[in-house]
Amino acid sequence: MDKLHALIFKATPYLFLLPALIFFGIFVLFPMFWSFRLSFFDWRVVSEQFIGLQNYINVLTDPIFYVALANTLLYLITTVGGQVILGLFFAFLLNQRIRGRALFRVMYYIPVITSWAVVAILWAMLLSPTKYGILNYALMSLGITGSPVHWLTEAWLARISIIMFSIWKGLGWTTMMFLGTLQSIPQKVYEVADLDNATTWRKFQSITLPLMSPVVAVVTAQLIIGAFNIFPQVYILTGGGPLHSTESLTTWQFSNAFTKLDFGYATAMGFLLLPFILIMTLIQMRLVRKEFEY
Amino acid sequence: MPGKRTLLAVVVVVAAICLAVFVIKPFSQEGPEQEVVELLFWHTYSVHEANRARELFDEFEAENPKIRVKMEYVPYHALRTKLLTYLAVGEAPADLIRLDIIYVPELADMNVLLPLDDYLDTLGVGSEDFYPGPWATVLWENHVWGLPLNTNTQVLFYRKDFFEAEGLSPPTTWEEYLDVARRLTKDLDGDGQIDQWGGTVGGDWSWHFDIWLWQNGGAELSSDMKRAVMNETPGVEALTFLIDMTYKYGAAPPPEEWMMPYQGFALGHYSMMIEGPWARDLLMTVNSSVSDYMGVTLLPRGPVREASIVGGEDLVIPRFVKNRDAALKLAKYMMSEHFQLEMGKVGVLPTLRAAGEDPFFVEDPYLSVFMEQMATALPRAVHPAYGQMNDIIHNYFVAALRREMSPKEALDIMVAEIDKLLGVEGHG
Amino acid sequence: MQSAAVYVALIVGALVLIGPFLWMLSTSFKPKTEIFKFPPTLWPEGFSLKNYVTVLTEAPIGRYFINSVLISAITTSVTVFLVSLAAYSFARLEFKGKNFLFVALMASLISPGIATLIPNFMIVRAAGLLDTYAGIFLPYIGWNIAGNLLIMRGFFRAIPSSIEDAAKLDNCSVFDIYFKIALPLVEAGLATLAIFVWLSAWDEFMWVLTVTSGDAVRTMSVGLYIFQGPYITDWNLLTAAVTLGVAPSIVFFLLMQRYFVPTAAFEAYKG
Repeated sequence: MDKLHALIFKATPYLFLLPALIFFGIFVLFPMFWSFRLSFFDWRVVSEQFIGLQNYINVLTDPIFYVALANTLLYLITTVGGQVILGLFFAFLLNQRIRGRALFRVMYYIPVITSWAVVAILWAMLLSPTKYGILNYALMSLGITGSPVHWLTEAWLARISIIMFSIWKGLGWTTMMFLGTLQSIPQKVYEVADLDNATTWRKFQSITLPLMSPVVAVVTAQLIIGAFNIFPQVYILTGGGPLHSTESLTTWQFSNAFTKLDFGYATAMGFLLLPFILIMTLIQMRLVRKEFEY
Repeated sequence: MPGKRTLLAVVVVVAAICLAVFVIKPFSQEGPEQEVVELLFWHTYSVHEANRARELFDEFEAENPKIRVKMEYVPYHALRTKLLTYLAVGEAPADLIRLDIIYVPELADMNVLLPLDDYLDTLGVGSEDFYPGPWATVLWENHVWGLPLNTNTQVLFYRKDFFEAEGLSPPTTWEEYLDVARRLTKDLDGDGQIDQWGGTVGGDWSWHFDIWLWQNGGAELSSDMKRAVMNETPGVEALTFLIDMTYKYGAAPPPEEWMMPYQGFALGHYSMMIEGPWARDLLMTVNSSVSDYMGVTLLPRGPVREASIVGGEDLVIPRFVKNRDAALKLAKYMMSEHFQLEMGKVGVLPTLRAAGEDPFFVEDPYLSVFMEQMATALPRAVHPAYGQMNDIIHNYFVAALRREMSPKEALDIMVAEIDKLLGVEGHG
Repeated sequence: MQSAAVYVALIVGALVLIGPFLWMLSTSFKPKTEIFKFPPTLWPEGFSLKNYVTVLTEAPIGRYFINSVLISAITTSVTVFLVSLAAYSFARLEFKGKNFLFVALMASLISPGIATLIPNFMIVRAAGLLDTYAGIFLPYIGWNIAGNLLIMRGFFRAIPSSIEDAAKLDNCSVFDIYFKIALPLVEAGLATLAIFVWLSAWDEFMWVLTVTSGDAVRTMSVGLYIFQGPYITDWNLLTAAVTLGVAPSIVFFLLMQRYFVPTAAFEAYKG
């Protein structure tokens, strides 16, 4: 290859990356730096004052921050776990020889494609804590419970409501993702195993599981990212209440920024999570190295 | 492979579209001609209300050919966020904004609103032209920061069918209120659970408490607004009245059994409720034969005075408005009896007394009650930090309602935290 | 596997998932007075199409709809293109600063959140793009880079490198390898990406509201709020509008569905 070719060859990885990175730089990195700077100021929309680490201290000494942190982790673990496990379950069912699979797929997918804000308001109404709330009405008609459940007005029930709602919304997507992969495993692979007299469990273990793990990893990663950014579920269903007990990091951030007009606090809160990210990054890098080794 | 060609095609099409949208401006974006001033008005009107406002603005434009009015709808709960975003980057939001009364002192304090003291003559209005409650919402530190645009208040709704059956008439004092509530609380089907309540606290936010507080001569803040005074005797008595009604006399449901007041009322679970003018529409969605059961009257009088609560919106002009004189002209129009009355007819109640006293309201059996109550309606504390105060009051009101603390304890903590917020000495 | 049990489980699941929508659909055909009737009715007693008519005539829903479709389509196609290109580089090619970039991308996904509204607004305003389509979709593309880049990278890394090594021996250019070999193998990933981006663009509300000043380029997500006032929500109208709005996303999903099955990759894998 002559010199020009060599140059182009060397530059290509960067050229591939460039357009995406330009967009990322302008609309994500620059705002991040702006926010970072803000976290050292007492910023009141039209005026600002440098206060060093005071915002960070305020966050770390705020009990509600820890409640929000604990809640976010709770939501993360339960909603990701729930969507993955139930997704696998339903994908497995849909992979069986059944009729009307296409119809089921669309039905399962509908919650996914409706906008969060609207569905959240819908759910807030359905979860009304009296016997007139549609969910309670259904439960009581079916005899599952005798008295109306206080879905959104008791701390733990409210958290469960948020978790239920989040899983409900995303389940269709994980199911479809897993189903796609399941369907792509050619029958022949299983037939070969049958020739060796493999048991169902053995087939599952050495064929299905390894072939599913990449997609499970990808889906889990996406769900985790989404779980950190949970917002309408909490904001619209409970507003963070009752008494801040269901507050998530994002809703608490929003409250501080736009209700209390304490942007410094809100941005500082965002950046306190950086150590988390570094840990998660290391885990991801470790996992990824392992996953694609076969 | 079928995928490749489609991808290429998509790329070409996308590039073409991108080029197109960058070059062509989207439909109907022609700016006004040279001499004409275009005013932007941010509003939160519903479609119905906005259509009527548009017609009224057309009339205004006809009389003021050099001014055009552009209306921009902003969803109610997002207005503040959008406003703050514009202010943060120094961009003028709009020429006029219809803003919830609660946010006016905050913006005034940030110095982003145009003070209107010197323009009252031009605007042709003064404090005496408005109901006192709404007028108070535009005042901060002795300046006028906006004009009351529309208002609402709350009155007593009662099940006239229940009252007639018992031969009762609507209460006019606290004692009568409690008495009637107790009489109308019943276990109708003998299952040991109360199906019909006399009254209901209605909710756990500041406006559910304030009415009683004021009627008993209390207040949220001291008159110089430097400290909170809710835990003084009038406040304790008022809160105790609500708690006792619920637990001691069992005439109102405890929080675990609450449902939306309008729902409870329409279904016959609540014999009385305190609500605003929108309640009639809400009642209709549950039980449409409203005229059979809905009775409306003024709130009972408290031990010290009559009082109800003021809600609504004010009209504000940002400080660095581009077309000040035109904006003032439009503001004047919006304060005219004609505009106020016409908007009142579509459900946006007027703040201008002259409009409120028009036969349209006086002769309406439903709306007349609200307009009459306006005379004694008070606003919540007109203070920049009210948003946070609201949260504090809510938190401890809830605690008191759930009997997690006594009324006095709840109010004491409320006051302590609000004092801290206000920067009172000795409170950190 | 007992067939009956499978069907029962699937049907129960389906009912739970679409239950609320059945209520929504039913409400969209009800008159205002029947919305909260108790006991609730599934089949509207006063069935009528009036709500749909009202929604289409009283609010410029038609225009909002077109704007939503346009913006979502542009965002999706550009994002998928840029991200797949970048992800390939990230997954396959060696270059300096790879790990640093990875960390930066991850960080952006989790940290800042809400406050970024303001700086983004600053940029768009400075570029003179307020109230334009570009002002809406350009940031969308930017915001969709990080997460999707990481996901696509995963998909590319799943392709066994033996195929590409063979191509390199044939003296194919990098772009050719990417375009003709790698890309078709990750069709499933691209389809996933496309749906993800489409949905997030379709849903976005606060940004559209902030950057637009009138109905010209506004989208459905903002339009739906017209039916929600401070005190009352017109459920019958809102549900009708939402039902109309859900249709394009369903169509898009159906279009992308057939790419979900990564057959090609596994044919290659077997070999």
